[in-house]
Amino acid sequence: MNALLLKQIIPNGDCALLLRFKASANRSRWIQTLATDFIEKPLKDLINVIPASDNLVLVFKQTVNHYLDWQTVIQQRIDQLQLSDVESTVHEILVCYEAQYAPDLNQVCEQVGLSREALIAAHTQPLYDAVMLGFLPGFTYLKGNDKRLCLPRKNTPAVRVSAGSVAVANDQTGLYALSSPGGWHVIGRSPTPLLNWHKTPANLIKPHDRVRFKSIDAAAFMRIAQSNNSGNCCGKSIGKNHGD
Amino acid sequence: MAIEIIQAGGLTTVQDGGRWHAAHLGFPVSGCMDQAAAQLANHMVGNEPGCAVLEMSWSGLEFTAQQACSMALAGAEFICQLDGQEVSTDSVIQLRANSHFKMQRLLSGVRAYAAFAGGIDVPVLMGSKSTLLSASVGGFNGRPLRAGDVVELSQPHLVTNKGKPNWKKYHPPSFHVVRAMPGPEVHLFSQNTIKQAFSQSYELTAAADRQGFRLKSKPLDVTNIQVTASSGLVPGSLQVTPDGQAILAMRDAQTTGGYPRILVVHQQQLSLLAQVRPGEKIHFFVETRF
Repeated sequence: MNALLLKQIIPNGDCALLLRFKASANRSRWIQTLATDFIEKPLKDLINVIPASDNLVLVFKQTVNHYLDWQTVIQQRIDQLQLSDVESTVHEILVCYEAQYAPDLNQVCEQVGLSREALIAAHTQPLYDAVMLGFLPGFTYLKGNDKRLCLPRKNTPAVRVSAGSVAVANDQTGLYALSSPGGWHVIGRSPTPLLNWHKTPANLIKPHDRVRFKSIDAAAFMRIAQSNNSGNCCGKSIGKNHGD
Repeated sequence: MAIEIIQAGGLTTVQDGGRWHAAHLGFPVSGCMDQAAAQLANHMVGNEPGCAVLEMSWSGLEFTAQQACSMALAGAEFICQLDGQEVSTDSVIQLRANSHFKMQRLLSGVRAYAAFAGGIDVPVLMGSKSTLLSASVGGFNGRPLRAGDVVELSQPHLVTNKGKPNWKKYHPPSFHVVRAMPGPEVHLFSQNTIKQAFSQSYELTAAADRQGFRLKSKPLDVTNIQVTASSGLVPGSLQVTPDGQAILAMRDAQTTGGYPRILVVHQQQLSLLAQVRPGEKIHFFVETRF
């Protein structure tokens, strides 16, 4: 029996549709499966498929044809889905929660009423589920935050969040693989690169892998970051070089 | 055959029609901010519309060509020089071996596009030659061009001159209006706030790049708005942040977002936004019946 319940199909601009799903067992896993189905057997003019924890966006090259009975088209896809046994890897991600890597830690501690030690303990305890990738290459959304660490996004997003940042917002932890603007509260940084451009896919964490955090001190962070820089990972050169 | 960059300008990157089929891996669509201008430049030199071009923001290029090749410029208007003589950008520019080309002064708009007959020879990353600056990948070594770079062209050749009709040139409007439709989270806002959002003007701030444009306006009321789960974000989405201000997603925007979207600009109209300057005002004409 199929467990993905379509709640609503609404436009997301003139060229995209947002599919929302009702709460059900394994919802986000089903959504990933549906996304894979659309990627492998695309509809006409479909140029992007963006799965998220409780919804899926279909992006088309042209203006969406609203005369088409989308409800039926999508329901038929859902009815034919099989939930595959996705192999999930458990990653141990090292995180330094010290001040120089955690610009928002003190303010988060204050807001949720926890000491620094208690917050680190609460954050390193759960086994998180990587519910989706997105935002930017390598950004990983992890579900499973300790209930005490739930707080809304920042009122004004930070202009720059450093690569490797580990941040919290709502009931999720986010991993910033690259430096970017960001609205989540940064409570630490990992020296482990989440993207390796020499590999396909470049992403270390796949959807529905599991993640556990381990606290490390600044000295360990520096040591690991340096060995990564001098070594094998995260090179920027792709294909042929043009005299750079 | 290549061009040797003497001056690269403020921000010059290789861009094309966009990187498709990779959003589920977190790759923004990228590509030329002003697709219409890039397509015009490509058309003038006989390239496919989505062929890779150079996108220049605010200031232009200076380079020498190693071999003959036709080139066309479109988008923001520049005063240009070919071998020391002023040259019109209304028609194809025929570069000879050792030609020295210089874009001297910006007249209007923000972003200009240079297309070369045959296209630009950089590696294809996940289906596109576009540079993604936030990830330092794609295009020319994942970065903007700088002085001394040698940019390879693919099969450069000369084409017969094709003009640029006057109506296709960039004429800066006295105010910017783009068509849009209500966003997927519009129902979370009050009727008054929706009315305000659809009728007021927004000033483009200096925080305007390929990822997004931060706008300034009378704040929109976001009290009592429940945070929504992140979902796929398309360029042109007007996201309202908790301080009541708005951020307009552009082509390098993140693939997913969680701020409520009160409207989404029609995709064809994104080209118009690429030429808006900070301090100028944008109006959204929201088509509520679609």
